[in-house]
Amino acid sequence: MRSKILWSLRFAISELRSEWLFGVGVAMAVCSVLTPTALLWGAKSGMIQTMRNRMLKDPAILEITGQQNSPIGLEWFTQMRREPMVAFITPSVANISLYGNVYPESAPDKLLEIAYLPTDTGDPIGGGLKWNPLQKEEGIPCTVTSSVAEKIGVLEGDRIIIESRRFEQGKSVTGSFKGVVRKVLKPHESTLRAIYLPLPVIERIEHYKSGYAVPSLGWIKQVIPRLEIYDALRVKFSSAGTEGAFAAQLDQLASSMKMTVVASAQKDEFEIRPMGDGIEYLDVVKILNQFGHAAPLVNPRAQCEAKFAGIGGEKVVIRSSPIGWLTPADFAAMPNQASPDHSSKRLAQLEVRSVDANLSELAIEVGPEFTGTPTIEVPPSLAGVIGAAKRRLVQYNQESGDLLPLRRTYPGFRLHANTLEDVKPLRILCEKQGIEVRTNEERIQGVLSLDAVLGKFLVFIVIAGGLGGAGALFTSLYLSIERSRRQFAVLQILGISRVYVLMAVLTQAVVMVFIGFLVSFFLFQVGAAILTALSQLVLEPGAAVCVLNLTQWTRLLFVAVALAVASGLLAVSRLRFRDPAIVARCE
Amino acid sequence: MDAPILSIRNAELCRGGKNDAFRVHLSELVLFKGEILSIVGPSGCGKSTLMDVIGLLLQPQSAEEFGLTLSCGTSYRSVHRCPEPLVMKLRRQHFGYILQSGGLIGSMSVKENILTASKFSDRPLDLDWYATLLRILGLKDLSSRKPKELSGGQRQRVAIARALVHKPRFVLADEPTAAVDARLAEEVCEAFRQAAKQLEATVVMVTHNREIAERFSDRILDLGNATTSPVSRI
Repeated sequence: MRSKILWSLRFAISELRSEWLFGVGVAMAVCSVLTPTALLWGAKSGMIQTMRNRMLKDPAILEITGQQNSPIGLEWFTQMRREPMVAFITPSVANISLYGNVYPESAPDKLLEIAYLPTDTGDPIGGGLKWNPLQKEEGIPCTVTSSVAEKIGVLEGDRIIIESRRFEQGKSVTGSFKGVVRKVLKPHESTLRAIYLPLPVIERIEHYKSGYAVPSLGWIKQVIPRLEIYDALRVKFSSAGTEGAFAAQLDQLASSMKMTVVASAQKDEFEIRPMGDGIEYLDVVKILNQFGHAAPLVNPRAQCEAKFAGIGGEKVVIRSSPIGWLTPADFAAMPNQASPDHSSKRLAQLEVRSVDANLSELAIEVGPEFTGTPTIEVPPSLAGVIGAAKRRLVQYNQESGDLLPLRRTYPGFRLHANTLEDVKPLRILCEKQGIEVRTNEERIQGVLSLDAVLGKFLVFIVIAGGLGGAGALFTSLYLSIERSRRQFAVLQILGISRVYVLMAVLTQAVVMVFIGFLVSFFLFQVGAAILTALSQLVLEPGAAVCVLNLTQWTRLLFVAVALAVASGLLAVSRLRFRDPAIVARCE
Repeated sequence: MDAPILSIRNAELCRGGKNDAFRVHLSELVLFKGEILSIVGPSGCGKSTLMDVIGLLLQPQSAEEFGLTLSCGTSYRSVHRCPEPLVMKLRRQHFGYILQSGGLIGSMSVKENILTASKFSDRPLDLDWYATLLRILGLKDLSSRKPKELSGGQRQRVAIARALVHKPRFVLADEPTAAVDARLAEEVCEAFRQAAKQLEATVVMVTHNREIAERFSDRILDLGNATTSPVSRI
């Protein structure tokens, strides 16, 4: 079989060599169709490519920004990351947390109000920065836009101070941390006055603004949460004989602050339960502490359902303040503490039980003296944490010491499509899922429409050219076969199967087409260079007016070879001898 | 005498279209191993048609018997009823053909032309026999030449070599000396006869040249002689 195939190929090549003028003629016919087709296709590609490149110089063209939406779950982000059209996606926090100030470490007077933008791995603009809690001292990596860099005068490698503000007890306070500029964006890359920070950092800024302590950024003070997160307050009188004055105060409080007062089984204790939102713990405690010790109450059964996430590993028992075994020192550190006898009691033990790699359960073991009651007494800072845990998952980062609510939803995101063509389908996909987005589709659509129109025009040209080329090929092969009928009849007399004859004819056709293709390729390069040289004035440096990439050339070759095979088959179908001996004798 | 290796009895041979068909009846033809049979006769008497039927190039319309016995012992009683692929295989392996003007492939060298038949015969090339053939036919120094670089006699010798290189059982020669002059014709026929005898192949030769036929054949079948010819027009 192998030797027969080789014979067939050798026969084809030797025939071509002996009739080389015929072969050159056919190759030129193929070339005459392929070259203009390639040049037109190249011009179309070059023009569209130039327009696309101009657009893509601004990476924001591919950006799809989430509008203020209802919370978007993490599952959606996971699903979008798997979507082939998505180049990059990162969640974003609420807009209110996305503003702050920045100034160079060496020049605090150059304070500038900026926007924070989250970045993550694969971010085509923000540089895909990662956060490591241990970077606190050397500075958290960030990318600054050219506008920010210019205004505060920083370069790559410079240190900056990033500030955020929050209100504590009605006063505005500032939290700041050190950043280091890893990248300065070029003006065309972003026109915003913003810095890109790793998403975890931006989340922590948001938590800080919400009142939480963020030790990893050096913000250790927790704003005492509102009363609503406690089940109740317990007031224990520090000295007997003040009950009357306290009752009067309570009545006043109850009417003005919407609280109910429940008398405890013990005469010197009262429980105060909130009826609505907005009761500042400190306001209440300030008054109540005139009479005795006020401490929040939480329901241990409710706490048992709280879960910690993101700890992982072995069973973890948090022993450090403010969570864990409560000691007299904990109470001493609390504001308005006045009951040392309570501090000596073991009130509760918090224990974190590992459920799986990402989820841990928080359990509270109630001290023996409280087992008969449904409540436990804890210091305010711990109560705040427990209150947060009651409402949602809490993430504890052992490395940084941050104990913060775990985000399961985000109000926004930054999304980048892979290509210009992906922007529209991604927008539609988001909208189908009820997520409002903003895109730069209008700018993109103009180029894509032009591409589509020119594409259709080109298809028409390719079809016309293909028909012409196939016709020329068929005619040439047909005439060649007709001329060699006697030879083929002799081969049939010798018992050589038509398959090998067909193989030989197809080989000839493919070789001639390939030669024509190579000549076309060469002529295309010359033509493209001339066109580019003539268009220098209107082109950007390095741009070409006529371009075909490897895939396009491969397609062109594939079409040409397919036409050659089709023409060869058609031509050989004519080669059917009812009586080869007659043909061999007579023609 | 050896048993016949090919026998055709009461066959109707037909060639051409429906209206202008050429029809003849063959009463009986028997071929023996190693014999050289020349078919002579005037034009249009059916020489080529008969040779093509013998060479399995043309199927008889009907035949009482068309038997073929091969050297391996296989025999067919009605070859004309065998499927086309089998007939082609028989042609490739057991038949050699010498065409009037050689029928060589112009683009291939002498060696490639000769070996073409061998390649498609599904038999390994016998290099000794190939060398012997080149020697007998005087082609030793011509193997790299193209047919157009050869004289008429040389071309005919290459055609003979191609017909014999795969050691066929039958060799069909259609006017092998038509394209050469009388002196060369004798040379070609002598070389052909030598090679065929060495191979013990049965040769069927169609020729107009009665002298050549008488000189080089074991038997002559004269289709022009109505009394002895087994072939008659229908």
